[in-house]
Amino acid sequence: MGTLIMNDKNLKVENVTKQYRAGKVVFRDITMEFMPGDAVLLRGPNGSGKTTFLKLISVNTFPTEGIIRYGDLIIHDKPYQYLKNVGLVHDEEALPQHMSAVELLEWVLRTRDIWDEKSNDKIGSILDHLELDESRFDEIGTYSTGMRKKAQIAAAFIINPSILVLDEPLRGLDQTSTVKVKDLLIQAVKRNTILLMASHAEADKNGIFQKVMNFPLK
Amino acid sequence: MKINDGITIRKKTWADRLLVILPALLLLTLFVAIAHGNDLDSRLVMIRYLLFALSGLFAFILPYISFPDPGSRLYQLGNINGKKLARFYLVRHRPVWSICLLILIATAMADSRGITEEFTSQLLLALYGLLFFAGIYLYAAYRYLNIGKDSQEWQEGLRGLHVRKRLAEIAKYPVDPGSIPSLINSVVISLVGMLGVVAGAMLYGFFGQGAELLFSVGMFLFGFIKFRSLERNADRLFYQANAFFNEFFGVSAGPGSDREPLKVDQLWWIPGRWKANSWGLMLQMDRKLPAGRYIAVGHLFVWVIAYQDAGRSAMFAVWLIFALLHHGFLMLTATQAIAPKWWLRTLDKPIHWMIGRFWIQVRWLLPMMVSMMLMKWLFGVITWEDLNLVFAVYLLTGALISAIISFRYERYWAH
Repeated sequence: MGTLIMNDKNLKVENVTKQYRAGKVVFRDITMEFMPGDAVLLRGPNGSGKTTFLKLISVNTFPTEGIIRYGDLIIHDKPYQYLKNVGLVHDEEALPQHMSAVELLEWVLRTRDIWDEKSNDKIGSILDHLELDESRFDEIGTYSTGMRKKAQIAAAFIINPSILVLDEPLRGLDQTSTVKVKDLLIQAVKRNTILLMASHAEADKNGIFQKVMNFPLK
Repeated sequence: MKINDGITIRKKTWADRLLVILPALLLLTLFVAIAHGNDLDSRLVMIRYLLFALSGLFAFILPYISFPDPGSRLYQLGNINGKKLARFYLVRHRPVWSICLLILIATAMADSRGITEEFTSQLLLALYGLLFFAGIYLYAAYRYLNIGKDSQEWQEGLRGLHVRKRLAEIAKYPVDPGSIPSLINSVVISLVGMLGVVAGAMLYGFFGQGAELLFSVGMFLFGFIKFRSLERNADRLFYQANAFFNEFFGVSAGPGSDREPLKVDQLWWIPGRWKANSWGLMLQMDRKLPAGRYIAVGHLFVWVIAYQDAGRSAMFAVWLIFALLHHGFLMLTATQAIAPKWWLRTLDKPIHWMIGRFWIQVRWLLPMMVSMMLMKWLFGVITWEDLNLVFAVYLLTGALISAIISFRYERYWAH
């Protein structure tokens, strides 16, 4: 899976409050720290704030108060610098319909300026692992829900991220694919990646996560 | 939408292209017809009025055509840098600004004696219009890209809460405090554009055309430098503005006041067969933005121009633009947020969605009729012929846009 880059920075959430309008608080004054290699499962009922929390970490929403640091970087001040380290599986995907999964991964690597001579093998390897077979060369618009999810997951992992932010990444996957993705998650945690994942499935917890964050946050 | 190196999220369909090309051709033809036969001085005055109107248009339209950006998740996958994000932001407005540029060129160059007659003067006139317009557009783009932080503070902070309470008590006006920076932007951009036009005209009076042209160069540089000044932090500004408007139009959408939602029975002018379709769309549109208030401000704006002793051609052009701008609200019903594909497919046939949309637009016809007839009676600046033509264009384009929006997914469903 390419070069092994060891993550050595913490992700610190410092006194963060988020409300969508005054008085409509999602969470108030939360402080926490995630160390390299932390695997955290976000759990809770619908509307309890899991997606909002992940949106904060992925710079898709901004805190009402407080800051979030990755190392010395305040992530909402320097999104481009911060997102170099982040692999994302968003809650709603917006993949290009007229590219194949292989082309998508090539585009991600080239746009991030991390394309090298090993990249083709790397793309082949991750798509092999996820069992996205000959369809990897078809346009994403023709994919099933599960195949699209695999393309999304591959795009998040292909950059060897130091932080993985995953919102329901296993939704729509069959049992075999779920096991394959869990393998990837375990490998990532071994590489010291900070893993933050929201999931409703109780089974997702097994063997990967050392911590569980229960939402709504108190 | 083109992202980078020819990659698209969704290929443009014939309907998407028609939505831009047809109104552009229509406007172009109309403006050539209006400008044709007028001498250079009259066309200069027409361009000034156009710039007046376009300043008002760009003062409020930008957030609606910029955010939330459907490509933002893909930008994050590729981690697009700030400079490119700023460029994509401008490219998103291209269908609108390119039409404006064409109209300005058409007005400047549509000389009945042929394009070669006084070519240099026509070219300078076009250059004046283009530079001034580019300046005010870039200034508007600068202000709206920079708006996320302030808007969020107003929306989520305590001062916003106080404003919401006060406005609800005093004016019974359901304003979301997060929209206050946008309202301020609208006023500032309009003022800069309009005062700029007046200042340019005064310079023309004192020193001639060269001075007014030079002023437009200044306007362009002002807008350009302002926008360039944001590029260093464009990633933060883009994500913050996008996040705010995503929440403003989505999670926290709606005025959150005691205002009663629209009831089906209030739609007295819509025939029963299409009432439910129109109501479903209008209910959501009205929650997203108070269209009636924008229309009222638009009428006020047209009356201010009429009060300046604008000529018949100029007033006809202003009414036409204003009539066509009404369809901007109809475009809201083309968004996935208001009319997702599955919803349209499940609930009715495209033909009925088209008719439902058309009836929505009919609601603005009566106020427009009253306003135009009053203007004709008071100022005599427009004729019955103008009035009929504006209504005809309004209804035809309304039907056309409704049809394009409603039938654009036919090919998608066929798969």
